[in-house]
Amino acid sequence: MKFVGLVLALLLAAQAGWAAPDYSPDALLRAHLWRDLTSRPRSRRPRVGLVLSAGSTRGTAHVGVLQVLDQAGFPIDAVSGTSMGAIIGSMYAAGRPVKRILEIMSGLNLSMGSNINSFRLVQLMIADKLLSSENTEKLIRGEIGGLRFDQLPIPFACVAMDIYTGESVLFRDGDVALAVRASMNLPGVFTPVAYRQRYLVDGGVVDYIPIDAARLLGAQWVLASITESDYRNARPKSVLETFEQVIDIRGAFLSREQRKQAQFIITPQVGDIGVYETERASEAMAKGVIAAYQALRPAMESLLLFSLEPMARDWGPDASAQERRP
Amino acid sequence: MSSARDARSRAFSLRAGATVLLALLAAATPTWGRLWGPRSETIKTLQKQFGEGRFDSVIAALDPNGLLKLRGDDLRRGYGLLAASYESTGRLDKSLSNYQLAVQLFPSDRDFLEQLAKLLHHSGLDERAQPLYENLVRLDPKNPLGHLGLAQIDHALGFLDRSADHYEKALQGFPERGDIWQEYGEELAEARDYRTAELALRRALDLNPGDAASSMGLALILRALGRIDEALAELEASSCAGRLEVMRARALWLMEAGRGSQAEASVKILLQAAPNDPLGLYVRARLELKAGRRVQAQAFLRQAATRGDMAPFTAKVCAALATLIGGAR
Repeated sequence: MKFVGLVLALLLAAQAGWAAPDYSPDALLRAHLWRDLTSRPRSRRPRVGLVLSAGSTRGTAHVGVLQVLDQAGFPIDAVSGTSMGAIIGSMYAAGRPVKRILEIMSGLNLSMGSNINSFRLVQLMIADKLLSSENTEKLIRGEIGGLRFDQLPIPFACVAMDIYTGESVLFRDGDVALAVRASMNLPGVFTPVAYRQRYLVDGGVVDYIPIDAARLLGAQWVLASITESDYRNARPKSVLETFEQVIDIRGAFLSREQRKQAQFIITPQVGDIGVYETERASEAMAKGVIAAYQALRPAMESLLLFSLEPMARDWGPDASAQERRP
Repeated sequence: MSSARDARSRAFSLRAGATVLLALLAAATPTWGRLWGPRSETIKTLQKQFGEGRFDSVIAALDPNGLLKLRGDDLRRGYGLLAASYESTGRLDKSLSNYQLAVQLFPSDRDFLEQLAKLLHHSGLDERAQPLYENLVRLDPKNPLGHLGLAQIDHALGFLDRSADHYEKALQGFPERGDIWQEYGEELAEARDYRTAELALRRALDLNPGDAASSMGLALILRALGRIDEALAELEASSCAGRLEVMRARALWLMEAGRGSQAEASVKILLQAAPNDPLGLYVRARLELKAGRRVQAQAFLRQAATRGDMAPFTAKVCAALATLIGGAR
């Protein structure tokens, strides 16, 4: 009987860590259909749209979501984004590796997207002199060069707002870097971007989750990554924070309706991260990974169920779906 | 033929069991070494009782008053014995609280950190286990248990790259642990690094021949690489041959590879063993559909759609497909 108790306890502990491969009917069928779907040409399956919401620092969680989708080989045929979603989405659509986007966002700080320094901050507070978001444009140009929308490997669109008319302005053509700058141009902080007789500020005010933009790019099945603020628990301590919270509340109201238009939603738990808490970007990205990984199987199943009709067309006697496989 | 296979299977099981036992005892050695060194008479007595499996006597002797009488290294050993005794008797909450206290009293004691982290991790409290494993790795950058814990936690959360790094470091300390090679292989397969995953799982099988998890994992990888014959051979040769899961995979993969007649024969065997198996019914339906027999296909799909309790996704797919076929007629 010596050591029996300890050995049994160790055996139990060892069993808890044992990971058996999943051979359940659901796992086998999911893997089978996924292989069928992802080996098809785009024309024989639904177009998948990825929508990245606004959210400033919280929006860096999108990188974690992208990392998981990329690892799983999730097909992405169109991308749309607002504000931080536009920055990340544009780089992904331009073919920048997710690892590179992660590197950039890991070093996120306020001066990366603005010309902020102590002097300009004092100017902003005392003399109402707004900052410039030119550094956002430089960042994007540094990564993707002077690409135009029609030159991107994955179709992309982003959204800004005309501060004179209140209209939502959708960018689908022209220079990508300038459009992304306009989309991430926080009102009250940055000078509006002048573009084609319009004065543009952050699109989060009018189109927090740009699902319509993805639809215009042809997306039939839409996955939205949403990084809203949990404004009910936030207590703004300054004029700027109060102002941003109003934008967040407005965004949250808007997104209630927009959420319904997506086929699948991933919501990283980043609601407590403030707009300017750039030092928490790595935490936000990690939360994006965790949320996306948890949602991965349901997302795959949702897309597979949506794709059954076009796939089944190849399963009849006339088609040779099986023979197409290696 | 069957008895020879049974004997082989029994031999594999015995060998695998012995390997696991030896590995576990080897893993426990540092703790035993720390608990069994030069010590006072009180500790000697308690260690003897622990060795004889008299855990309740150890727990009774090490009540708060008993612990108060111990000093220095004896106190450390006392906490170790107390926590291990609680763990051995299945009182994990008590074991946990004693390890926590021991870690506070002896913050650089790696044994306590390892035990506490392992207990938290296996209780599903990964958020609390993770900083302890990180601490272990900080104290000893090559600590294999620390890296193994972090590898498993990172894998569960979806950080596949980080998890692979930790598995590699854990394997430097435990190169002969087939179970870790198997986990590492599973992780690599998830990250779609199938070539390396294949190597890891073959190593796992070298170390633990006949291990069902490694064989099944390897078959999945071979199938993902398009090597269907090798995948099926791996399943047939393993100790899991004849299981329902293997029959399902065989029928589905043969259909996927376009080998209609072989798939049909396999699915018949599967449905004889389990007439309502949802995946078997799905495969049967797809074969009927391929042959242009829509009515028969629809009947099989409808039957499979009622098995939502067992396979909710398969049931949904079958229900949707049955409707599609009906509409297209």
